[in-house]
Amino acid sequence: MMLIPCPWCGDRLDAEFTCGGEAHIMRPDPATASDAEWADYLFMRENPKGLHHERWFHAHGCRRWFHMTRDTASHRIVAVYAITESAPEASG
Amino acid sequence: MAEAWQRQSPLARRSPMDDDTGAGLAMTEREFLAKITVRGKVADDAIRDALGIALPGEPNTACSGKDHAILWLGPDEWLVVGPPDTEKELVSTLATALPDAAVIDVTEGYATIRLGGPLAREVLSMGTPLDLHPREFAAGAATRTLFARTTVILHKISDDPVFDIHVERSQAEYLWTWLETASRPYRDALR
Ligand SMILES: [Zn+2]
Repeated sequence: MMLIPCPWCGDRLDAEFTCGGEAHIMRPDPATASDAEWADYLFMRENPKGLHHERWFHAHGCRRWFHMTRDTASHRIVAVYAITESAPEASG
Repeated sequence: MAEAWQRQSPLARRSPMDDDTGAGLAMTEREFLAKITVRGKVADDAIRDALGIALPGEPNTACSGKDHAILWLGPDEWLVVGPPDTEKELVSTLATALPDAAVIDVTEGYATIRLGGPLAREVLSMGTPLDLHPREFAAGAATRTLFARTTVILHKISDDPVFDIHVERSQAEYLWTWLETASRPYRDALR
């Protein structure tokens, strides 16, 4: 069991959340992007061992999306920030 | 709203669990409470004028008056609970008062179970890791959360304690029997 700190509701059971995968993926301009760039945008993900910026959804609570920086090796949660914010510098 | 003659609670065939042992654990249904979802821009003044109670602005809280309660469900979402058979007038009152919000009657979509007594917290703690100690979850606290693998809206009415649990209609009988089962060891021990 893991507790996730929702920025609205506070610490909640991880089962209340849905992970939306890697955060901060920018959509290239489809008019100018090459096939390789477009494929990279659609399919390729970082999948790091260590710090990872992710999108999470509090599905069984306030039903809000937010960002979370998490260590994929230890599950340590480093930062939680709003869905409109960019990744925190220090934990990058 | 369903026609009165067609209307049946999903818990109609369940008998209330009364505080017959002196154990202090009672479970009843609060049948056909009016329940309205409000989403969007809601002015605190407009709610005060319409229902005479404040709009809860903080997560995990509710504001209650004589007849109504407003539960915070999200940054732009609330549940308004009122007396049985008032949903029609409640919808029109709220829709008039809140022109920038969606006002949806969800009365028939939810059933409400009331669990009360000194052992209520013990029983509820088996279904959720939320800290239900009055220090953390005092009277007036409310939240949508995962409880016994179903989504509920949990509202602590008083510190006696009394809890109201709003649950989707299709899950109501499951949750009722789950709570009955969870209560059994406490009731047996005190018999
Ligand atoms: Zn939340």
